[in-house]
Amino acid sequence: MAEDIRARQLMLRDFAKIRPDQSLAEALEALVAVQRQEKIPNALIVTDTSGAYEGLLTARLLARSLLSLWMPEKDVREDEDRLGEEFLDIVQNRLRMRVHDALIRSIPVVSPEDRLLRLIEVACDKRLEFIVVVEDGAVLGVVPVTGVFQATVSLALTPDDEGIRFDQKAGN
Amino acid sequence: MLGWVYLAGSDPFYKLRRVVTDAGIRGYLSQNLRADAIAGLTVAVMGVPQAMAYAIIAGLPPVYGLYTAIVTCAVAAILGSSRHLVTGPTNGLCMVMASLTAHMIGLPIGDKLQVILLLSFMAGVIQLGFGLLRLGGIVRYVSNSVVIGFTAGAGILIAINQLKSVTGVEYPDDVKPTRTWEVAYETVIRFGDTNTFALIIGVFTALLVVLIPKIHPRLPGALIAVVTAAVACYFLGWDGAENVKIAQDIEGGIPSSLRIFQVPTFVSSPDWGSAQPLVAGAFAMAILGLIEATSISRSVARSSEQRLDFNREFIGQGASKIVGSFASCFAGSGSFTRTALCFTSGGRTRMAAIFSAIWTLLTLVLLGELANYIPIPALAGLLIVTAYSMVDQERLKLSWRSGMNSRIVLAGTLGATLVLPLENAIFVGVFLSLIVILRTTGKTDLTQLIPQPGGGFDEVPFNRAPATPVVTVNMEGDIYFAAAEDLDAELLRCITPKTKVVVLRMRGLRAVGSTAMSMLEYFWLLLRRRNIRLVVSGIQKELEVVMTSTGVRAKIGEANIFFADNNLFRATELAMLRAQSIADWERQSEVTAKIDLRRDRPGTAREIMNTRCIRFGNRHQLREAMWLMSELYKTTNAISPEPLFLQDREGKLFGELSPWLILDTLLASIEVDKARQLPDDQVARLLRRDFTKPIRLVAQTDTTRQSLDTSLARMLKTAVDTEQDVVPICDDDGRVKGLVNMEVLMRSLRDALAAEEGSTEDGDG
Repeated sequence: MAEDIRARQLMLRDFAKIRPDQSLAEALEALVAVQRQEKIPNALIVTDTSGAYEGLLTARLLARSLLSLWMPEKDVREDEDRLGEEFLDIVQNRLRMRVHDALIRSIPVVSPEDRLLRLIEVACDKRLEFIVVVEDGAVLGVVPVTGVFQATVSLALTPDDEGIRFDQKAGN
Repeated sequence: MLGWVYLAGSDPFYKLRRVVTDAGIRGYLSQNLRADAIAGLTVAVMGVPQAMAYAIIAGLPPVYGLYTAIVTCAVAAILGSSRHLVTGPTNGLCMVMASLTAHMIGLPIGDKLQVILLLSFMAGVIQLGFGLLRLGGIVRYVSNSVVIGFTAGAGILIAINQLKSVTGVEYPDDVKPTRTWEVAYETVIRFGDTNTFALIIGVFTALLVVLIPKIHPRLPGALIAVVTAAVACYFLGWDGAENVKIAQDIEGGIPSSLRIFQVPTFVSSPDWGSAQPLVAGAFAMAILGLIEATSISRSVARSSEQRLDFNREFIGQGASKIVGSFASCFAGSGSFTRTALCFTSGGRTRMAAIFSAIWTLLTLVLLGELANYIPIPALAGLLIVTAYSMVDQERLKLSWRSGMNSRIVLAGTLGATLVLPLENAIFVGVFLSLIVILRTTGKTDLTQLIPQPGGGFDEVPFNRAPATPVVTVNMEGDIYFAAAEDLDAELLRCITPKTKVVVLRMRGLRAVGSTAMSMLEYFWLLLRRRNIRLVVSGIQKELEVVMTSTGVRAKIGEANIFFADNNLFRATELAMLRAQSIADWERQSEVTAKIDLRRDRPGTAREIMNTRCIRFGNRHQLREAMWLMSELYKTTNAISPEPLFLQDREGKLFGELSPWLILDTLLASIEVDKARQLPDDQVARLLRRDFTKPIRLVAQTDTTRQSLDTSLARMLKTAVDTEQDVVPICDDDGRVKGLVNMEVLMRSLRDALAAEEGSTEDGDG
């Protein structure tokens, strides 16, 4: 009998970090920078100076921090130029915020021994792109949701399921 | 354990008793005593004639050399740090003392001795002060070339000074040469008066000193030579009628009853006025003594693997001089020859040096009167051989070949030693060392970094990189006021007509001061005048503080500053991305200079969307979609979760399938609480329940779609509001033309901000 899949097996050990006292502008630059790095999750792990886990910052969460509660007036919404101007003003203003102030602290984490089922639950609960693996307060790695998906597929999909059947009545 | 605690707490002598009974004295007696006693004897055999000869260098009767070899040696061994350092008379210090008392030629020896004792005491106080103030590290700043140059110069001076003794030439009463060249002159013009017997004794001794170690390296050449010369001189009767001076002829020689401990006059009748002119000389002696002692103990420690505490060594050296000045001892220091001999003879602990003091004391007590028959030309011959060895050709060559800095210090110190009073020569050497340090450290090394396609950087010499819009300069070294001078002008040399942005990597900078910040600010201004932007990276905490407090941080702009983190080049990579985007924008703005920047900022969906997206029919089963997505992720090595866009028969967007949606669907089909108790293979079977479910029933069909002309602002706003990570871009008929994911949106946002900043600055400027 094969061993159960654990978070430890799926996690990527290389990841980018950021300090909570850094600005969102720096976070934005860092996120753009890590996009160019292969096999590094497009997310920033927020750790304090001692390396203890504080939170997670993804492009989605950063965008939410920059634009949440921005409700442009109707006339602005209908004018692309004014919308763009107001948008940049808002973003420039909020980029001065510290990472600390933009963190969402309720994001669940997993331990390295957590099983696949737990990872699926956590990923689906908040639609997380990345699940942070923490042990004794320190971040060990990051499991991308694509990794959870692939593990599930490899576990559940049999060779008979592979391929696409074009002979189905409903197929196109 | 309890007993131990009780004893340790109640019995004040417990520790001492432990040392005595356990690993301490008992262990020492059985393991090291013999080795140390033999090594000490070997050192004493070599050291006795040396000590007597060095006293003559200092212009004192030989017995004072023996006192120094006993008292300073024992005190320094007890209080110092090195286990092998043998302290005692050294030729260098003796030369300095001779130089400092050269004006006293003709005065009674007692007066000269008192001045030398005062000098030694003062040098000891200075050294002790250095040690107590924990300034042990300062000797690091004195170049080794100072020691080599000074030793070689002192060797030449010793050889010249001994010409008089070895030739037996006598000066008339009115001739009192004080400087070495005067001694040489007065001796050379009286070569006709050479005492043949003295010359024979001197040359004979020198030859024996050279030849005996060649016969057998372990034979004490100096002792055998001097004793043989004394015996020969005595039996040939040259010490009498033929007037070859012997030790006894100098102030009565070695007294039959020793009176080592005497209160020096600077204590019994202090005269601080006469002490003041000696301060500089004492300081020079203290420095030379420390350099000698530390360099010798360090070289032995390399072999013995002992970790030295230089502060303790300073205390030991200082205390030995202070105690010694109350025991008729002149200033001593670490002797290289005796220390090396102590180590190679098997000396294991500091007791070896103490034993050498004990053996020397026994020699003085038991054989002191016999030592009175040692001919002075024999000691002069010994000194000439020693002087020759002080001009260490190998070390001189090594120092000379070690670059211009070493050469300057070596030549400067050697020249000063030959020309100036020796105490001043030491200051010249120390001064040159400090100049060299300032020249070396007061420099900021500049190189240029060229990013490589596969990642990483190539480092090339400054101003040798090809002309590109982004110039990255790596700065390393110190940037305090001396180094910051002209650095701004130097940095400008990397600018070419193509340059749009300069990235300064400042991670390797140390000692950042306000002058450096002024330089950085001025450099920023110079670039600004040339329409070139400045981005700085690798900013460490210390630099961040200075940049913030001086206002330079605000001027350069937060977006252009990238702080150092644990990853060595990450900040620089980010800075270069920033620089590249600025450069790209500059290039675009040059092309579309006449167009309103704010209206035409890049970032509509058409410009940034990814046209390579997977479109899939909506009539398939879930397992097929899963397989397809899995293959897609495998092929692209995807870490980011791209969804599958479903389209209907007409090719219009039907909805999307994301990994979360699929996983959620699978999860919904099982009882999670029960599944948790099952192994993975059984969970897998449960998860398969909905595999054949049609995807049109699973897909999210309320996906917000955007048109090709949707602005960045609207796309981002929609993505945030609808919590969509990937926005499908559709044409007017609703067919998917591409997608924009959150990563692309972030990148575009960053570019838009750079563009905005560029336009604002243009407006400001």
